[in-house]
Amino acid sequence: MTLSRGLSRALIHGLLLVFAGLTFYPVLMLVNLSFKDPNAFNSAPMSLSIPPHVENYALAWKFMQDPVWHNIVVGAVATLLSLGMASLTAFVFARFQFPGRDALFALMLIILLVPGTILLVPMYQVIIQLKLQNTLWALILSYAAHQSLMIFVLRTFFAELPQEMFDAARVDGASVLQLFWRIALPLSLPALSAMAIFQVWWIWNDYAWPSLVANSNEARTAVTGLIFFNDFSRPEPGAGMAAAVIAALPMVLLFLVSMRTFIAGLTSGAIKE
Amino acid sequence: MLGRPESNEMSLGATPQTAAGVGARTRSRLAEVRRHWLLYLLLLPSFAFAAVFYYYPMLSGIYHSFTFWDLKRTLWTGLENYQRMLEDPISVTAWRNMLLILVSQLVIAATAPLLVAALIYNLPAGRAPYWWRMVFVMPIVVPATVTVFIWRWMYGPEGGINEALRLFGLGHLARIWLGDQTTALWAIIFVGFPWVSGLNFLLYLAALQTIPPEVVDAARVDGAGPFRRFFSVELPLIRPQMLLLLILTFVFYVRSFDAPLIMTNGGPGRAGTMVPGLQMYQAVREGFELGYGSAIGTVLFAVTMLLTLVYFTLQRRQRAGG
Repeated sequence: MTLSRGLSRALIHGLLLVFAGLTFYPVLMLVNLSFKDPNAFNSAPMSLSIPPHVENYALAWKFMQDPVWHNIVVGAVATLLSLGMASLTAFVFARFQFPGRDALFALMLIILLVPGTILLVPMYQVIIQLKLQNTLWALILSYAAHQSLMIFVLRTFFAELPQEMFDAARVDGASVLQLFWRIALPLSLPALSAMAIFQVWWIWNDYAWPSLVANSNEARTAVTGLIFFNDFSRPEPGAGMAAAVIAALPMVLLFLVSMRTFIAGLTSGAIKE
Repeated sequence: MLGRPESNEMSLGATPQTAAGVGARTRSRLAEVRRHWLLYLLLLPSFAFAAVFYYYPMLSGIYHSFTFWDLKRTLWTGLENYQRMLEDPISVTAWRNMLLILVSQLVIAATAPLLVAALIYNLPAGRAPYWWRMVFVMPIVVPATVTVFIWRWMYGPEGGINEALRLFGLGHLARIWLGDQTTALWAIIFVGFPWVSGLNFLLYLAALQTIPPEVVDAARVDGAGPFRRFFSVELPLIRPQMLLLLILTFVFYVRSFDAPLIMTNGGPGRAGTMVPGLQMYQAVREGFELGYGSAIGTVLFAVTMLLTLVYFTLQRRQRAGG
């Protein structure tokens, strides 16, 4: 009995090891190739890149620093804007009774059912009409509109806060905004940060939309920069790989400093996508 | 619903909801709206952004799908764009490609991540399940575009797949995977092999771990082995989550075109890996055929909506059935 149990346990670990190896194989290849000497890139792609050709990173960084910076700015500003608006909206929907509330909430939820990419063509028109193409504002404003999921999740969260706390504050004469700012927000920090991280991750991952409306040196994001660099700048191949590592690194760092919140954010985000 | 006093809700003004509820009935609705002006004002920013970036584009997209449209001119052409979609050999191939991708991805979503989640679930409680979960969650942080970019190299002449084949003495099988009509579409489907990491895995594992241990123990006492247990106890219990995942997978791959865009731009040939979403993108990017692009978008939208409706119906039936 114990022998067979130990055997099946070993079998499970063995299978998981195979899956993990296959999963990480491309990532490990990428990191290895990003240190490869240009002469060895095609002749010996599988060998360990020793000594590491770190010049690849200097070359890649020269191109990628602007796209990475743009993406950080777009991610931070759009996330703050959308989180600010969405949390206020969610708060009003969750804690107040007013004419038309349910209809308005349903109107907001319709967006949740519409995959954004399908609006690609008419959203492009909006950006052209606002004369925002190839500016960071095209991305900041369109991403700031991405709120319906946050409103949905945060409304549930705000609705579960105990009413007594709000009542006590109202007796003391607190206004709607004070209730929001002093009670609802501080009590919801975990949910708010999970939503913020999901938004930042989602923005960082988006490719098609920024490649359409922000494909210029002034506005390119990290992943669009990565593809542009490789397909049009024709860099040394190792530098192209280094650019991919650079494009992924900020998300890896974000994951490492906020593992739990990161996973919570992605799981609640999965409801939508 | 409106006007009924609810415990967890507030109304504006100095009087709390219970007292205001009585007065509200006597006041006219307009006065009621005016009294809540502040709440509407607070909702305004969200709705203003939604109007510009969702509601208006939605209506504009549907309207322009019946027109020839290049941002300067809008000419009403009736159903011409839709007719073109049905007759254009490229778009016919694109829909067929999408169907193959969809079916494959549904099979993948129902198997690979579930298998790994079930393996981890069957480990005795302790540190091992935790660490394995971490291992398979981690790749989520790699942006999808970077994954596609790595796989583009993997499929290249001196890429990871051909080199691995040569290493095992199977060099004669090496080929340019993305340039070959017979392999290109399958190559796109195989991106991310073995398709374990990510949300699907995470949601499956979470679903399995919420099964009450008594249920599994009871099956064990009855002498059910791990395979019997999986198919007759665990799998039926996580069916709702599985249905959700499959719908999400469907909706995602109806619209997703990042992989063909970055790897092949729809080739090899005229439509080797073309999908409707990419046609829509190219309509904007290359042709300025925005009307045609809108028609494709509208059909994709309809397909998505239909599936969502099917999901809600199934879900309701499942709930009603127990």
